[in-house]
Amino acid sequence: MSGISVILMSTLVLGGLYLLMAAGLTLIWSTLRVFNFGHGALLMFGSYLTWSLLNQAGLPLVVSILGAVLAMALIGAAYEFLLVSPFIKRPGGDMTVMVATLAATMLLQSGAQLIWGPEIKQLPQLGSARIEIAGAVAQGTQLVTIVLAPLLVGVLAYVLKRSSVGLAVRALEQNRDHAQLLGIAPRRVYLAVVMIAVGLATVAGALLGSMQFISPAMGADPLLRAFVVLAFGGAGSLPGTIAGAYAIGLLEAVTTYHFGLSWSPVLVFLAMIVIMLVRPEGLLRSRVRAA
Amino acid sequence: MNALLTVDKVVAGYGRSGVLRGISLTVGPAESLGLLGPNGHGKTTLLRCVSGLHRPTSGTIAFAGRDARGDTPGDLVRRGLVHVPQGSRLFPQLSVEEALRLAGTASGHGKTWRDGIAQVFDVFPRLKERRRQLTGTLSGGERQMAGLGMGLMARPKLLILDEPTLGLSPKVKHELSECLVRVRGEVPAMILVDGDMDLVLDLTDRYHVVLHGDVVHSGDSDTSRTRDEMMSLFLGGTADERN
Ligand SMILES: Nc1ncnc2c1ncn2[C@@H]1O[C@H](COP(=O)(O)OP(=O)(O)O)[C@@H](O)[C@H]1O
Ligand SMILES: [Mg+2]
Repeated sequence: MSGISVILMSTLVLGGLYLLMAAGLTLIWSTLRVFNFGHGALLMFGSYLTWSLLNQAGLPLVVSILGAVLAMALIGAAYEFLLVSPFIKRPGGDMTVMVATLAATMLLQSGAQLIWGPEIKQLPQLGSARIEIAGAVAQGTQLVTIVLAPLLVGVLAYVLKRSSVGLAVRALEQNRDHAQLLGIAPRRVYLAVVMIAVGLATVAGALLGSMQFISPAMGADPLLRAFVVLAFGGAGSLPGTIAGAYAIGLLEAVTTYHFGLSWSPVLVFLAMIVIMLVRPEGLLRSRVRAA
Repeated sequence: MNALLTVDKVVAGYGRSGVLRGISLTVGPAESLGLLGPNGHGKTTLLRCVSGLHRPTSGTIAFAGRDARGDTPGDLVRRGLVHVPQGSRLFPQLSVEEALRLAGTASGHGKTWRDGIAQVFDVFPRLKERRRQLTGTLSGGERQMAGLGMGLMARPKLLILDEPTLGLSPKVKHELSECLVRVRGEVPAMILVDGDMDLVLDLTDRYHVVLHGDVVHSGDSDTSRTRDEMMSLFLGGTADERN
């Protein structure tokens, strides 16, 4: 009995983390048509920045996270300005942009190593709330992740669905030329999208930094999982991404519980290959299309 | 000269292939101009240059008394130059109403888009019936109507229509032609490109024939001789194209 509730709890935590990463990547993919390889490194940088605001500037934890989200959104703006805008409109520019985001990963990792040094850091638990359901316990950061991740992405999905800005984002995804002829400025939309995505990655970084340790390479694993989520959920659809994030979370929780931590990634990737063979368009893609 | 739009010696192309070879034309503030000529001779390219989607290699374009070079399509839309592009699939996942609303808000009419939609539904009752339908599932004729409706949402001073009846069956084309007459009544000035010569001559005051990226012939749309003249030019043009 408690096995199931433990698995579900860890599904919600892992799924939430992947969701925060994958939602931003999906948004970037669907508007810019590039995969942002730098997303993991941005998560890592956000995590370190939160640590600095907390331990070096002496701000309260929640304020540190908010500050890091804002600062990282600005760094995201610079990222868009330097790595995306100059290349995206050229023929074959999407490839150039992706290579540039890879380069940014290296740069951010080396930068973090230089700025924060090699010693291991960690953020404290977010709050002390604790719930226990059928023998499974979620507390502190885990509990916050379970609630916050779907909440943030839910708000994002709602805004995209209802607001004028959201309409503009979706229009640009669907027909770039015609969207421009309606008066939509792609550059502004790209900027907004990258800033939002980097903000979400920073939240994920702060959560992860308090559940595990902060290190220059900490973004690699979440990036990989988020990539799987995109493939799984059908890149470019937010509902698909939400489903995909929790599906991967569940797969990982189940395989970790039954086969152990070291086998879990292998099985997750195996499952992904099988699913992509059966449904190359992603789990939800066609249903979302028809809706 | 107080033309609304002035295109002067515009040269443009894609990569190394030249398309427009120094084309010039003007449109008055209350005028409707037709562009005729076989496919592939640069009409769409010209319109894309005018609306800021494509950069000319040289030449000048001025709209409402201001140099339009360097303006983005958005700048121009907000000043009243509105381009309904050829063969647009619109926004497959947006409903008709969402697309119309967006056309209103993105063109700077964020406060009055509701009135705009009511007006568009008066012009296109069919769109009102289809308001909740995704534009990706509209029929060809309805899609053209939605495109035209989106154009009207921006309250154009100059409305540019590129091949609104392309690919429509004769019956649907007839229905859309009637819509286009109403659209003409809604906008001060217009540029109309279409393969249907009669339609273009009916809806415009003057016309140009475009061949190989330049105007080769011009006239008033209502002279009785026009149609015969045009036929021979068209046949000439097509033969020319085959060479
Ligand atoms: N995006 C493009 N890239 C390369 N060539 C193009 C592009 N669009 C149009 N062309 C070429 O430019 C020429 C003029 O096309 P176009 O302006 O569409 O003419 P029209 O509207 O009169 O049919 C054609 O030879 C066409 O093949
Ligand atoms: Mg054309």
